[in-house]
Amino acid sequence: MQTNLINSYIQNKTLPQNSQKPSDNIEIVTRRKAKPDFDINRELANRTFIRPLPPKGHIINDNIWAAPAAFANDMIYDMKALKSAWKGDANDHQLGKLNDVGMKLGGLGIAAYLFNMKKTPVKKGMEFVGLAAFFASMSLWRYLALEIPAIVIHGFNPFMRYEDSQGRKKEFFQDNQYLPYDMISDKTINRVAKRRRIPENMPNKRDAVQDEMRTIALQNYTMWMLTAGPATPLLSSLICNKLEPVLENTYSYFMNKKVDNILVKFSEVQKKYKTGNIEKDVNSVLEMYKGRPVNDEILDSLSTALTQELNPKVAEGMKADLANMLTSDKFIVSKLQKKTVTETVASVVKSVSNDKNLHAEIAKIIPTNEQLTAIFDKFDGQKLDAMQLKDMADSVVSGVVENLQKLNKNGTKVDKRTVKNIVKAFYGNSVGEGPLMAVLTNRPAKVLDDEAQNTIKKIAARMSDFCAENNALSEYAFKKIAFAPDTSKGKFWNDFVKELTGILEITNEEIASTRYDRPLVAKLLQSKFQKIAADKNKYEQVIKKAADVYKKKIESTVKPDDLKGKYIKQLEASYAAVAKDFGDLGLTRTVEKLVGKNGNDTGSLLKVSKAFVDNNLSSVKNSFARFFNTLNFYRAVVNDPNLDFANHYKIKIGHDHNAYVETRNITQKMLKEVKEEVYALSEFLTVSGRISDYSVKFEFLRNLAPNDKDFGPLTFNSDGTVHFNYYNEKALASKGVFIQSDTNFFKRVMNALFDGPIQQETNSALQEFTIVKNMLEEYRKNMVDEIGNLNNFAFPSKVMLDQWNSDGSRIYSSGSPNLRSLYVGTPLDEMISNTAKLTYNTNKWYKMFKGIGLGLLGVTVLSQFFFGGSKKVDKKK
Amino acid sequence: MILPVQNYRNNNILFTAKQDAHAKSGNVQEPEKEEYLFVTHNGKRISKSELKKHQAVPVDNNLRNRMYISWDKFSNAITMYPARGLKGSKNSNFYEFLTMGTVPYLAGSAMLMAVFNSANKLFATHRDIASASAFGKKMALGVLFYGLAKNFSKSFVTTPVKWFTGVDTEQPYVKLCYKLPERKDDGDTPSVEFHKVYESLEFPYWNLNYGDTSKGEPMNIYYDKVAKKLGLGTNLKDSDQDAKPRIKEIAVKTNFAKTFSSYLWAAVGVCVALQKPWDDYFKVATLKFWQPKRFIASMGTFCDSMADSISAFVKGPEGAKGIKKYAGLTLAGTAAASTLVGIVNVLTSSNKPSKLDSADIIEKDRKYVVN
Repeated sequence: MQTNLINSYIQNKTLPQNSQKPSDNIEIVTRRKAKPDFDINRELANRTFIRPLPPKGHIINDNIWAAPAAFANDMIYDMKALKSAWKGDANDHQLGKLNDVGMKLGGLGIAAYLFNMKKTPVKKGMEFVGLAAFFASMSLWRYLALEIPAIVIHGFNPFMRYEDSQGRKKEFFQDNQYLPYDMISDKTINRVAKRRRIPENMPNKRDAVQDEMRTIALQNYTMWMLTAGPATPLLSSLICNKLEPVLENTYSYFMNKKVDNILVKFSEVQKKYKTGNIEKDVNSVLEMYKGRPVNDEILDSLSTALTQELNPKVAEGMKADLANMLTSDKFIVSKLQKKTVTETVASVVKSVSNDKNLHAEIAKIIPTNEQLTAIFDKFDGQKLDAMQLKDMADSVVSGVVENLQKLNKNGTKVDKRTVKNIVKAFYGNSVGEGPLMAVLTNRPAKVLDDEAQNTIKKIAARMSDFCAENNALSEYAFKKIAFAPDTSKGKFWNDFVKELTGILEITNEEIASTRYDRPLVAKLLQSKFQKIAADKNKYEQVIKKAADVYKKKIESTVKPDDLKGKYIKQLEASYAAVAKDFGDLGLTRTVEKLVGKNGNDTGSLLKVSKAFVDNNLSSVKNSFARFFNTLNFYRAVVNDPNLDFANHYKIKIGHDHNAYVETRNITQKMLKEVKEEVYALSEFLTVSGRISDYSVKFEFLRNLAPNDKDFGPLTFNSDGTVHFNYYNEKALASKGVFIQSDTNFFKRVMNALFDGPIQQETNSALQEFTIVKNMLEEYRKNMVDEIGNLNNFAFPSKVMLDQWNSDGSRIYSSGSPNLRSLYVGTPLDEMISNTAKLTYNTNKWYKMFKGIGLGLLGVTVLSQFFFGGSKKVDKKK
Repeated sequence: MILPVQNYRNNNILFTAKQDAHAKSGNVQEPEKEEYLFVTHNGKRISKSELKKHQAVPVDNNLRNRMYISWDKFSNAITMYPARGLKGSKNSNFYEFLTMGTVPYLAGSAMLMAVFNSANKLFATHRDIASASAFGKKMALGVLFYGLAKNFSKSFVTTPVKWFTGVDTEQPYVKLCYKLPERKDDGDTPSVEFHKVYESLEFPYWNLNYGDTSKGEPMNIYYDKVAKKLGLGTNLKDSDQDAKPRIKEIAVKTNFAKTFSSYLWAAVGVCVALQKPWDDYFKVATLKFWQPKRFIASMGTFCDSMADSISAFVKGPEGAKGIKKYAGLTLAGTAAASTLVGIVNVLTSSNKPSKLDSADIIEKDRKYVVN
């Protein structure tokens, strides 16, 4: 036991006999009548004024409504504790609380650092969610696994808290040997007694109940200590896993709302995107160069400042326009240039001849001051064109020649050849060139005067407005359709593919068995598609489900109608307005770079902006259209096992609006083995084909001598999959041959996939989903037009779609490799396997830790039934 | 001078009614062989009889003792204390509860490592396994660095404070605790607890710092030294009374500074562990010390990766600008600043000498409570 001054004194002091009735000799001093000569000894001897205050401690009944106030009080307490600790007079309880504050501060430090390092908003947000989940799990585990079961089973909360007389909140049972039982009400005691079946009339019942409560609480605290460690990280990981999609959806919702708002309130919103940098930078350039002759350096600085928020191509146009606007072909000469001319003459003469004598006489060679004054006086301050400047240069050169001749006469021999070379060295190849002309033309007649400055300021103001609009539109396009995490497109893609794995009923076991190899995934998908296509109802159901999910997801995120409609309209309006204004200001080259020339926007910034949306949108659409087209192909095979639909194909003759299409038939009958080969290649292309497969990797191994008697249809297994009677991929791998000459084979494959009819079942299933139907039709058309007659498709002679000019020359696909790649889309096996693997990994993790978590929870909860049983309670009595 | 109060004087007291226990202790027939504790005081191992005599004995604050104390606490925290707690023993005390606080820390760390690593090998592809493992290993290292940085960084504050003030705020002592008999035939069941003199700042164990007068030591030997170092003067009549308020202030401020800064250093530890250069170490990491060549090479790479990671953490990612570039430097700077500011605060006394008379110290308008 510790002691202090007062206690020590009290223990050693002889007290009055009757402390209730103090002796008359001792004056009772109350604090209200404290004397100026206050004597501590006397005061302590008369202890009646020092007495315990009435206790204010009480059990805290936590309830959710009081939580905000309690939180605020705790914060105030922590702040006070912080102040006391800083001053060095904090108590143990305050320091204990500050430990928690420190822990949270450290956690915030980690989260803030990782927040900075993560690249996407959701990942950034998850750092703080993770931190909050960790701290929440600490209390949540105790609450769920121990507190609630204990309350239910034993009738009291072993982790109940109390507030002591000093306002400090503490846990009641935390110290097993210091328990202020006075605070526990009889009601609680009776409830626990009843629940613990402690006899009603037991002597010292309260003691027995208290001891029972102490035992149970201690056991709960110990159990908490043992389980909190493994449970907290587990629970926080589970919380994070569950919260990540919620955060993703929430972010996506608000991000979409914000981005959609750009188009809805464009005129207001675009103002927020005005950086002001253009005007600021242009003004600083003008300030720096005002009144100076406009040269290349100034033009560069101005055009860069004006177009800093746009494509560098626009800067080129702007520079050309400014050059046109601000420069002239005249130059001003000044007497001040005399010195430079003298230096230039000297350096030219020295560079031509190595004659030391000549070098020594250089002062006599260069034109005299009188000579130069005569020349410059004539032109001083005048605006001269190139011819006039040349005249001036000629006068200077004449002076030099005159001086050389004088020198020759005075004895220093200068041969004619040297004189000729010196004269030649003053001139360049054309009129405006040469060292002298360079000196004379360094002061262009046009300067950056007020008028020029005003014009540039006008351009800057308009450019600044335009860039604000362009920035707003770029933000819209990027957030909607860019291939980046946390964009609308990214979210849509992930969500839809995830749904697709569910629609195709791909099980965890199937993912497990195919996860190491993409061809295995392809086989799995092929088998899935075959089985779905075999059953009409199921086929329609899958198409409908997929189309429904596609429609809902894309319309709630990417909103292709807005992208193709409102966005393009606004884009064109902004560009048209700026083109008009810049046109009025005479910036024709800039306008060209912005919107193109004569209605042709090729290579313009407008075209680039439009293409960004088109390309990104089509990469998504084509990948998913490919899924629907694949299903359609499998259904076509079921409907027509003879593959007759592969024999009909269209041929396009002529170009653009002059072109017309003819339908042709391949009349050659197909052997069953060939049908199987056509089917096998089509199957491969639908599920796994990449753009490279259509161009350089199209070597399909076939049997050079197929069974020439069997012309029957394809046959099916009982589960709906195709049964190959002849085609044997493994055997063909070693014995097969790539038969280049069989053009019909390749044509049939392409016809079967892209040019055959859309199946009636597909059409009926897509009746309500026009967006999907249009997408499918567009995809098939693109595949036929751009891939089907691809120039380097396997071999030029094997193009799938014949397209001819009316003069008989062949037309090949005009699409760029990039565009063609977009048309082909992502291979289905790659698309599905990436998402399926992610799901598989998550499931594996869940399986492992769900078991551990549930086991831990079970043991912890069940342990309550073994708690209690204080020795003070003899229930038999 | 106020003398220390010794509230436990009877060395032979026993809390048991068991006869043979009495026979064994008080009236010993044959002198028992002296037993010693593992820990030392003034360089000598503490005998059990000395502990019984004094009830609490200071322990040298050296590495050996600290390691032993940690081991003793840890082994009890995973065996005896939970067993006693789960039985609901009345002898389970607050010390045991606090000591058991190590268990969730260690078990939690292990589980955190497991959460990021155990399931990885079951993932779909080797690529998934590799990428998950690379991250998982860094997380595991982060957990390890958190613990190491948090514990070691405390000495960044306590050691300078000890140098400058002479006050060892981490001074441990060993205490003998007699347990209450739980069964009729229970004998004496004393248990040994390791505390720190300043673990309670409201009730520091001042007594332990007094000199042993029976051995000729001056009573205030410790306080004289501290008072001199704190600039309170030499040859003070009651150096203990003069020094105690200042020591208490130092202990509170040190506790505060070490707590706050240790969590910030722990954060630095985690962030350093998450840097890219650790990938190099994990490629060659091995703990197989029985393969010395590999092990040494691995440790060499560990040091290189550590240096590179610290550099990457402080300098920020290549090409980064603004907050991203300086995030690491800011965190490390905050941790270092918290340590420095904490130490400076400890060395600066907030309590100016009172100019009031003693009569004024008791405020007449306030209510007072006897402790």
